[in-house]
Amino acid sequence: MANEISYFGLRPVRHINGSAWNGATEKCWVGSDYTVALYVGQTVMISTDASESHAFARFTSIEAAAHTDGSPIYGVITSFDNMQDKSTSLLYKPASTDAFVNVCVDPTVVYHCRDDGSSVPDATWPFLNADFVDAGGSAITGLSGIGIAGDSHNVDQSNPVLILRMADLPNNALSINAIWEVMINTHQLLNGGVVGNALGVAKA
Amino acid sequence: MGNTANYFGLRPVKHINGSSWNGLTEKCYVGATYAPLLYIGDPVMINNALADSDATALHTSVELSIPIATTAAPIYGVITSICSSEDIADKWVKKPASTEAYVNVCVDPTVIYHIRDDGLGAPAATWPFLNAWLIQAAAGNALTGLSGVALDGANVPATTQTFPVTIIRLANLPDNEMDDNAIWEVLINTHQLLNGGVAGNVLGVAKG
Repeated sequence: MANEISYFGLRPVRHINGSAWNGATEKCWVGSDYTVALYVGQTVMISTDASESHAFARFTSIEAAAHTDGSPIYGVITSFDNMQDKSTSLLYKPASTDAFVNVCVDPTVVYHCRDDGSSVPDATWPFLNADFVDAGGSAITGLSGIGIAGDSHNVDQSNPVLILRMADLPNNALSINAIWEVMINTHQLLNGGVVGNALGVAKA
Repeated sequence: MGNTANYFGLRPVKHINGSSWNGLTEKCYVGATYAPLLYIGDPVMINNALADSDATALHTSVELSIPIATTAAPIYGVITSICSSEDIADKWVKKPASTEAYVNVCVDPTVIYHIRDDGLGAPAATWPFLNAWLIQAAAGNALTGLSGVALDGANVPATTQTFPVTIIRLANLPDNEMDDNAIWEVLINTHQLLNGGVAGNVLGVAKG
């Protein structure tokens, strides 16, 4: 059976050492000046815009990360609160709306992510680097449209993704739009971010 | 009493943050066309031979990685046990030559290992936080299943960032003397999940 094309961005599932991800996140801030909508599963980076920073510097201000080679990533959005006390939760963050965003920032976390079907996956993909691509988030589900850009898989340390292996899930076939286990390779808490962390290994 | 020379490869003992190692590993794959034997305690790296890869892409394929002074190599982790199939009940002492196997590998780059030096250097108080090479000091043991990989003392530990292990300290164990064949605590320095692998992670610090 062919894989589905329902993108969900990045979904934290475990740590590289094998232990389960326990749901821990950092509460980050997005200022109302930021005009881009954000979704659950979206990759984010540290915001460089002073006007979007949290006035009391108590929260890291973030914005959507780019998806191409050399794009730094601070973490992945797991949920939204529009109030600091969590009294109200957003499905996604609409454009130009301030919000508190819960972000998985641990660079040791392994994520599930679907490839975009632009290249047919095979057994050479594990431990290669790749870029992300964004098909657009869903305002109905609140989920990000980020996937692995399948046609970008290669050996390039500055690519934002390290593909670990196919996710061992029911009905997940080694075919287009498969779900993969990945790590963030240009994490801002590792090796300067844009330089990248792991160098892929090509198989021949 | 002198130290013994019974090598065991690398043995995970704790994390650099001080917490104990709880035994977590990744189940990796070794293809039937891969000829070398593999033992518990052997360092491994990602296998770049397509013929040795898991056709389902569900498991990382690995091969032996012994970065010796003449051949640099990255390290993905250390074998902790070996199975003949995905069913963990089918356990092997070692991986036979040219036989498909699944190996449980400690892949966490924060893990500290015990390793014995090969007795060909002169261990001293200057060794901690220097980097060192590994060496196949003896063949793996078919009876115990343990690796013969050791810390290379003859190629003098140095500050060089590209050396494969960082010596943390002498292991605080009974009868472990700072002498030939001592057991050391080390970190993997050319881990494939850190800084591109062969570039190395930690720059050693010389004392003088």
